[in-house]
Amino acid sequence: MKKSLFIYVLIIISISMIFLFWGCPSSKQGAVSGDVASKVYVPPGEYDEFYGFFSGGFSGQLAVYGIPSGRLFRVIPVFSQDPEKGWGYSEETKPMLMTSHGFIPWDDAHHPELSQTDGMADGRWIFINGNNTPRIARIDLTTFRTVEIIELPNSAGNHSSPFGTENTEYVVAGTRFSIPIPNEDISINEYKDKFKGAISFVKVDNKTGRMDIAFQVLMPGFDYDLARAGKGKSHGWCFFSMYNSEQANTIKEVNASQNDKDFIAAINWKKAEEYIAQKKFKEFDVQYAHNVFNEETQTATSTMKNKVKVLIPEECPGLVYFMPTPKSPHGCDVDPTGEYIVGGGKLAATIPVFSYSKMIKAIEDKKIDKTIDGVPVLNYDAVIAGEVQEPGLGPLHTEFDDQGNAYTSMFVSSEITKWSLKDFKVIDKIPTYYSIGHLLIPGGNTKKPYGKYVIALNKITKDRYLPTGPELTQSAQLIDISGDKMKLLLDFPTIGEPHYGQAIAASVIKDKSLKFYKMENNKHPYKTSKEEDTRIERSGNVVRIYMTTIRSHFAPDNIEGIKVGDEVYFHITNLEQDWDVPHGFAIKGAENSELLIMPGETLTLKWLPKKPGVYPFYCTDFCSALHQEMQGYVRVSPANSQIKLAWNTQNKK
Amino acid sequence: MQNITRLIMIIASLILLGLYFLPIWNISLEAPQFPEGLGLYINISSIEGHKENDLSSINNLNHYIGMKKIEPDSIPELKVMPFIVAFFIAFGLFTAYVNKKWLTATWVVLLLIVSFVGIYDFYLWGYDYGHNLDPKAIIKIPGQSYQPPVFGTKQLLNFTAHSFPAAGGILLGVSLVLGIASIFLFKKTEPKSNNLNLMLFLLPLLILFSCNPEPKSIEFGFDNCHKCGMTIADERWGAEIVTHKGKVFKFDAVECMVAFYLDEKKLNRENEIHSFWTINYLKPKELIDATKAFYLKSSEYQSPMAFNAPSFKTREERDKSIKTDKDIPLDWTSLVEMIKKDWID
Repeated sequence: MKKSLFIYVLIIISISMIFLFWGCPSSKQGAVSGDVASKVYVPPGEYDEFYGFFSGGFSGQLAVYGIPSGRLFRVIPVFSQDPEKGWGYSEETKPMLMTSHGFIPWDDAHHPELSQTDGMADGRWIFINGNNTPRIARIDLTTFRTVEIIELPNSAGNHSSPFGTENTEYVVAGTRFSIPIPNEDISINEYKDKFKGAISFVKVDNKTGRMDIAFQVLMPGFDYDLARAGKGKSHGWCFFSMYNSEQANTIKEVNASQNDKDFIAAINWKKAEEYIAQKKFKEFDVQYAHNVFNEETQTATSTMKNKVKVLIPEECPGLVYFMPTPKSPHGCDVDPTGEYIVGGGKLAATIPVFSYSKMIKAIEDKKIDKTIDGVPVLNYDAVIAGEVQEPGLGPLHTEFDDQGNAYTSMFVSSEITKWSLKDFKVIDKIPTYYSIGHLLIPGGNTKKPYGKYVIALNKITKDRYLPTGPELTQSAQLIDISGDKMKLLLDFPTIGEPHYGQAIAASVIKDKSLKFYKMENNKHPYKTSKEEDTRIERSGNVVRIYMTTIRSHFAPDNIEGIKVGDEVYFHITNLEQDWDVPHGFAIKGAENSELLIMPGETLTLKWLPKKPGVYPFYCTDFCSALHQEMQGYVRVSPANSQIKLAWNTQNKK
Repeated sequence: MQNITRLIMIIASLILLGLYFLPIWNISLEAPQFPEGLGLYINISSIEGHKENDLSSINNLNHYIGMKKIEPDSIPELKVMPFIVAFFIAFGLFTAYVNKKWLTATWVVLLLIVSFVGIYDFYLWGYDYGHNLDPKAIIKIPGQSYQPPVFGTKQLLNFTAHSFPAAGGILLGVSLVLGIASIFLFKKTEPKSNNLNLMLFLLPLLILFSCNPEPKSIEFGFDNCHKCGMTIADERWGAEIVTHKGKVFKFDAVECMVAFYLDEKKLNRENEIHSFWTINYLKPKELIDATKAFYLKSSEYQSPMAFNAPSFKTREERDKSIKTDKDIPLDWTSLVEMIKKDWID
């Protein structure tokens, strides 16, 4: 009996194993609990506490969100054409997208950077880089429009940009790709000998915001990744992370990941100013576009420039130092006091924290291990303040709160690690969904962070939202950092790829926001001040239609005498002088886009009629009860037709 | 009685047929970026992903750490295995026909040897993949190898790797156990009891059902403590009892759970409890097995009911969290005793 029991038990165990290993399903991660909804709920009609500016990545745009609600307010077109606003399609804005390579209607926008005064975001402008065809744009925060774009010569991918100094004396631009400088037709295998990386310092006029390339520093042929300017005690320095110190030019994912240490470069820009004053620069012949939107004429102009001042580190001692940094650093972030520089080695197991004071001492004491192309490499132990142990995997980017803590994004382990600047010990970790790139804390790059929230900017969303085919949204995650433990509050989708973002208290910006353009300030050369002045002028095959809009009609709205082969310009002035009353303009067969004309603004659409017939045009933006009636016709006659120009409006009989 | 052994051997042989359809081993990988999961099935003649492209995804991930590509075509064992299994089926059926104890024993021993050799072979392949890394790998962590576990769970960088027998492997185990049972039955002379027969069918079902009682996540700020009635608000504190019937009792801290448990014990109802769970202090909201957790009695940590004993998943985490020399490290048993002594009595 005992034996048979044993056997049965054996059999039973064996069959039971089938059930035991069946496994039980797991539940969804990152559920929130408690009353988080109230923490992100902004009641209808009320305002968010912060503006959030998130880069649109490969959409080339900049998105404006409300924080903490995560509501999208506006997408500001920057480097990419935007048919919604006619940006890059209207004659006024086309010059904004000119470069030395011609009209480039797209770019890859990564890092928004708010202008600063005394180390605090002042809400005047926001800058953003175009990574592909190297550019920096400036957006005015009274109009939320791109008002200036400057191209960067000698650069081949503007990634470590446009990080600014504490009074926005400069915004910087380090090249992600090194190239032959001056660029020439040579073998790519000559990388090690001939390729260089240019770092540009773009001077920003404190009053007008106008940008100008002050000088470039010609650095060894590495890949320049991210940057931060010093602040407080380290004001006058700017730090740049770099990888590919191996100087590989193929299969970089492997070949540029071999060295145990790459570098963070420290550039003394005050020293650079001295060298420039002493005329220690070389002038290089280059070509780059500088595009400025004139607020008075409401028209952009593009100017091609052809000289740039270049400093060579070998000839300028004390200008640049390298600090060895583990494994292909990405982030290079300066804490609110300006003392610590935090490196984020993508492939490193620790986070190195450098000390500015130790760096200065190491320079004084000549703690130099070697020199690369005239750049002294400081001794790692002489400059390091500490290392954060076991922070997670794939540290990328660090920002700071108002309590002396740092928050580092961990791409590989997909989490945010909070650690203390006092002892470099990890305090807390929170998972992100999924694969966080940069993160942001309102004011997290300034002298006085607002703290309160950290926002994870994620690369991958997978199962977080309703699926939309193979192409999914990227996302942001709002996390409460007011307590000891980080708490996930909200997921919200973002446009393009939100590489980086910055947030600023809404109160700094909102009251300065422009409501409409005043007609009397409109100095557009093709402006029409009142309906009586509307007219059509022909000069050869160029036809200029001076048109106005006011609720709810165009003037003129019946146009005849246009011929096939004509080059027709609709110069449309929106005569409205009230808030939020734009009019749109669209005409059948236009090869560009619509126009969206703000009150008091004049915009121009170019139209090339190809076939005789009658063509309707209409207002695209729902402007009033009789918006549907806001329409008109253009008659197009054959090229050899004798029909005279004629137009009518309701006032002209 | 002889027919029984014959029947069992026939079953033992025929269930091996399942190996042709069902995976033998299952390696699954978990990482935050892969909420949909990622994994490999080792079949009798192939290695394939849980999903269509998992194998290529895994190979692609492995290139970061310099691991060789897993190419099923280059693994000769996969070509031989179908024949080995076929041999055991044929030999097993022959054994059933002959129905001699020594032959059955031979079959069992041979199958055991082959199984262990197979597992050892699996280990060797894993060792090779995990250690034989490209010196130019993108991610190099000194001393880190990436050998997947043969049996069990292991953390490999951001991935948690699980390796367990899959349905086919379990069938193989069942086959072995049946073979062993058959050997013993040769000596058996007593008639079998009907009750045991019934057990044979019921017990696996019972075990199946016992899989169901699972902890439910605590809704912080919403759920109330079953013992003291307070809202469970702090995500670092909380506990849960799950009964065999799947009923869940939530508590705001371990002391309330233990108090409830001791009450149940007085009523002789403690057998209804299936499992004890507690919140991992370092990973808020995460429920861990309370009987295996590590505790710390420390006034540095303020628990909702002031017994002040945070729970930790591992001994290391607990030991790291000790702040003063007055802190007392505890395990489940000592925790229960201390709560009984200091907090209740």
